[in-house]
Amino acid sequence: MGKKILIVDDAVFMRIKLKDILEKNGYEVAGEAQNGQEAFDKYQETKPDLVTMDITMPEVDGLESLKMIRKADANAKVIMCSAMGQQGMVMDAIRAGAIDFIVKPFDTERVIKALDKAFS
Amino acid sequence: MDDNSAYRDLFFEESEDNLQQLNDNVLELEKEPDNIDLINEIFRAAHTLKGSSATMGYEVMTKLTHRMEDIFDLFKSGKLKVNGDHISLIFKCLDRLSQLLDDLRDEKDLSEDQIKDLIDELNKVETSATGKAAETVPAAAEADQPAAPKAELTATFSSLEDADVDVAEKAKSGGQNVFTIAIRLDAETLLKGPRVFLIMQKLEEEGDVIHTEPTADLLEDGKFDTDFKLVFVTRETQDDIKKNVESNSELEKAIVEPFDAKKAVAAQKEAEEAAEKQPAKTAAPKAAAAKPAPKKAAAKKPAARAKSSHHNARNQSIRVDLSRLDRFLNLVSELVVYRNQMEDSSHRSDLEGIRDSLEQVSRLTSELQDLVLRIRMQQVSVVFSRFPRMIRDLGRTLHKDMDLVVIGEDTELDKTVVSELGEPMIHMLRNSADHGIEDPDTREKLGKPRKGTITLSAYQEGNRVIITLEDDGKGIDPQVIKASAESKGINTDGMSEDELKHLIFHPGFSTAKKITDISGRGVGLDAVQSKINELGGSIELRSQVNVGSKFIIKLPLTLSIIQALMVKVGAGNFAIPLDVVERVVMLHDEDIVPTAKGEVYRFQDTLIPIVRTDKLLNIKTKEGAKKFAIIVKSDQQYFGILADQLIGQKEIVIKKIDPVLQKINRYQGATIFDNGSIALILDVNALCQTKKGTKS
Repeated sequence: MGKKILIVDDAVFMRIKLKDILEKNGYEVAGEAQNGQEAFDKYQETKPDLVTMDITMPEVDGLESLKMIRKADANAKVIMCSAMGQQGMVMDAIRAGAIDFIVKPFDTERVIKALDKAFS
Repeated sequence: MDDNSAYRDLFFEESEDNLQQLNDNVLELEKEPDNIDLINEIFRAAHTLKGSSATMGYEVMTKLTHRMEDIFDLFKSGKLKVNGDHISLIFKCLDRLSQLLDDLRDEKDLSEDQIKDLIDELNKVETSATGKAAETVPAAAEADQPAAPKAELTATFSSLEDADVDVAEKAKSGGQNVFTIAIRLDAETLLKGPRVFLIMQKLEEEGDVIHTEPTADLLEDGKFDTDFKLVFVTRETQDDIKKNVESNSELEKAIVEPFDAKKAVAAQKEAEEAAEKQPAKTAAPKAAAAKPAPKKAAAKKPAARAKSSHHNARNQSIRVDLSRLDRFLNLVSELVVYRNQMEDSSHRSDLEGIRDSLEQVSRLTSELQDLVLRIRMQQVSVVFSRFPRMIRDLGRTLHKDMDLVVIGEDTELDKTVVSELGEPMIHMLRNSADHGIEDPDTREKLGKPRKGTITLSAYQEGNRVIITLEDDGKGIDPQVIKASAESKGINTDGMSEDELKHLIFHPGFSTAKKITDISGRGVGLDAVQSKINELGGSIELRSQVNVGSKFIIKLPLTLSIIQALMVKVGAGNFAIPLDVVERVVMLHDEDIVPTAKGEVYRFQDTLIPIVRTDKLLNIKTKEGAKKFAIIVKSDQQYFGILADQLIGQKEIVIKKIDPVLQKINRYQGATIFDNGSIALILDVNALCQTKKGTKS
């Protein structure tokens, strides 16, 4: 049974791409969320093994959502997805307990390596 | 690289949405330059656009969005005040981006030249705001250089201080372990600063980092190539630490070995000499940071080319509300149930059962028909949403102050109609802005507000959608039209003021004193009118000098199914779209009065022209029998179309007819009767215009 991943990104395009990558590499997608609040709700609902979390999102952003999730579950594994130029945000996320981060544009190799590491 | 072709359509769709959103928000931003929520919203849309295009490997597009995002960042931080010029520049970028999208859709390769001018302009703005030169684009030559072979990763230091060695020695004697850790990141690693930060944070859970090379500051800013080293004091074993380090992503290599002060210091001298030989390495951190991206671009291009051909045909797609689709599925499954029932009944020759199910099937089919039409519906906002931007740009070019008020954007119309509507609407809006709205000074003299208002509204009325376009400009002066028409050799004898105004729909007529860039593009309102007619609609004009003009466009909700009046002419069946029919009267031959201008009939105290369908279509009919006149309204005028027999009112599905047949301008299409026979649908507008043509 593959590990369950919750995908969080406000762009459908990114979600579909990520979902594809994950499913082709033996991971199971537990759910998708398009903003931080939804991510938090879906996390409670699906209890995934790991979350990939976009940083810039409407309403509740990734950083806020990360904090919410970690508060509810101190062992939550969250990998941030960031773009170039978000150093500060990524640092904050690491301080808030993100276990890793992936920089967009992501390709299959980068994503899978990060996930494999997270579960090793 | 990954094959992204599967996401292409989605990418285009979403990017177009993002661009539209950016357009809307930037327009809003000009009005409220201090609205921080708006700026954040804009920033986010730009950011998503950048992320998606980068993932697709569209480097040129990524670069432009990236530089644009930098400007938004300056707005956000307050370093740059939003002004009209910036907004215009951003609009230019947005336009260019949508051009790039089009090119990509057509499988064209993009080149940096396509965006160079804009990048230069963006750089200028950024320089003026920050006082420093903007991040320069790395020269292509540099990016293409093969990376110099890297030296072996070693666990030696070049700037170890005595104090550091002391700390290490003390820790050792205190029973702790001291390790030298050397790490080389993947060459492709992005955001090196946070990467190092993450590695260090993980380490510090198990001990202390007492020395790093390069310095911690440089590491955190990502200002180093790929290698860094540190001295680490811990109570854990070498294996544990090695595991800790290797749990990080994007490492090419990591060495963990016991710290040896003597070896470290001895190697230091050697290293210093080596460092002197390569002073450039740390001096150009920026260029190094920017390196991986262009290299990737080169690798991606051939792959992108290879997968062409699949996507050359542009797929037309439509977004459907999920609840409608669900209902669709429900209806279809119900239909299947009743079909099975019918089959069952027919096996048992149970006529009653068949009738019952048939009743359900016919209910379901009409519901399905209704639903499919609804699925094809699109909000007019699809077209309207680009107008505010257009009016803003026009205002700047024409030095006029004007506002566009849009009402009823959520009104729905058939997709075909919506997509065809753009062009004529743009034309009319340009007209209003250019010829309608006066310049602020003139307006003030006339006692009007300096700012002109153009109101665009849409609403549904029965089976039609009414779109009105109203401006509070100078209106259409019949005398000006008259003079202009006469100078063009158009006979205006005996025309009423209303008829004079309607001359603006006359082919080749333009009231513009000079051909302007805005609306003098050779297409006149006649083109607008014929487009609207083609869509089965009509256009009316109301105008009053110095008060304004109002265009009223009436469009059918859908093109494919219409209510029609079925008639017989001779032996042939014909359909007349019901929406043009005003009423039907019975008449005898003696009611038709021949005049010099053709046959007329007295209807509501006016004489209206009679269209003899039989003659026009060369159909033999019985002479002298009673006839029906279908009174229709075309182009603000009544006509009587003669028919021999009325069959009744029916909902018909329009089938396209051969283009050759279409050219004769008599029929809109054809439809199939219950009994399988075919009826032609009369093109009433075309028939009446022919009649008018022969009359004058």
